[in-house]
Amino acid sequence: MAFVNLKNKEIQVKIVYYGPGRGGKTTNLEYIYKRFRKRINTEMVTVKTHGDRTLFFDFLPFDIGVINGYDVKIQLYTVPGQVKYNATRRLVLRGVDGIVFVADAMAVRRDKNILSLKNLQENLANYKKSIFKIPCVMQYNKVDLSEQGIPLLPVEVLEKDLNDQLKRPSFKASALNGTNVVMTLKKIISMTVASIKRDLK
Amino acid sequence: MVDTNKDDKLDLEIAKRLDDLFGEGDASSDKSKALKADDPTVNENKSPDQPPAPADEEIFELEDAVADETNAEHTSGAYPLAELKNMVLSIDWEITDEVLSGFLSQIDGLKNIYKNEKIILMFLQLLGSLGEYIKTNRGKAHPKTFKILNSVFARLEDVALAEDMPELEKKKLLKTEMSKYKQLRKQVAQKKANKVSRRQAKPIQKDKLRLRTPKKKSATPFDKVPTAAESYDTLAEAVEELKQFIHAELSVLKQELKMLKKSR
Repeated sequence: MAFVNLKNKEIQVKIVYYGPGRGGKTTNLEYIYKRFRKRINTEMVTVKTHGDRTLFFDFLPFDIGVINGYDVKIQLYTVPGQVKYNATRRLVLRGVDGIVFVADAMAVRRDKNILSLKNLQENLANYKKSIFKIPCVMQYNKVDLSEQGIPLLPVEVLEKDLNDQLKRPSFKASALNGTNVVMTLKKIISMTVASIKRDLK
Repeated sequence: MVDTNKDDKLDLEIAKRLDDLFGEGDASSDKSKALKADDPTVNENKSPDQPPAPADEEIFELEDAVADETNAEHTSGAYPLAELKNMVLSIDWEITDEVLSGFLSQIDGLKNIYKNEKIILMFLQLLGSLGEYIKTNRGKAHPKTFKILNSVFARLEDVALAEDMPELEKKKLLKTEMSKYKQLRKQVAQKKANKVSRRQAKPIQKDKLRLRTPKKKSATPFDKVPTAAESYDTLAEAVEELKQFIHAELSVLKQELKMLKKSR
């Protein structure tokens, strides 16, 4: 459940970008930050390792203004994707309101996507949340790699592997180029705010 | 009925606000436009939660993308380094026997293809050595290894693809990568020496760590809410991960400082 401050009429919405390591979660946030920094008037916090991997999480907060009398503040997080940092991932998921699952469209990453989605389900269950109920958007990232001759998974395969049961909105994307990064963001914010509103009723 | 209207209003309000914030408007020309545009979604209408789709989004044309993929599959067959590139990208994020064996056998195959091109052979040897090192050390390999692996492969591609590149230029690129590799070897040797001396100084440190972070596994995903103790465990595990990370990072930095001092 989102953090709601009735006194100040403020709602904090936590959206987590989840997915396998090197899938482009940080790149999504970096694109949003670089491109819309002036409009959203914020700073992005990111901690990287020596090898350029996310150490703890990335954090990008911004305000989308007053909606229905409430000041809506969005907080975007990423998790470290590497298998060994599950405890960190679980911590970042605490209090999550919406998920963007960033899948890697490269053919060689097929199994990792599936494992990561299962891991998400388990970690959400840890907080008694269901992957089938939480607002979630699927993003099939790295479609630009086809131009370099890298074999990609067809969308049908990605959908069957990851979205067959969930049936969530999904986007082909290139976080590096920005393709559908904003569409993904808009979709998850809309879904999450609507879901919070339903919960508040 | 009233509620539905209210929901629609809310959806519209959110959509409008997001358009104001993230609409393309004056935003500088997006590289994504080079990636074509039409129907933005693969499967956008699946969720009942969604608001009406805003009209001015950045967009991607699915059919063209699929066509690109098909073309790419054809062209990758003609490009001898394509498979090796896949393997390099795979190693970059996860190290498995399958990937490493594939990587090393690709290199063997390419050595045959390029047996008359000395510089390319040298690049392949460098990649082979890095691959063997990663195979032995896996996740414990020096963090710089993966950067150097990518860099060596990128230069190899430059050399292999540029038919009219002067020999001198090729040698220069090789020399740069060679020196990176040599520096890495020095750092690895230094790291090993440091580890040995640290172990001798603190032989029981590992056991202590284990005692501080007992791991608990929940039986099934949906059967319980985390207790305060479990939350504490999660926090402790995360802190431990952080500690180990910071420790590794610091030792790398220390080595780099030493190297710098020596080079002065």
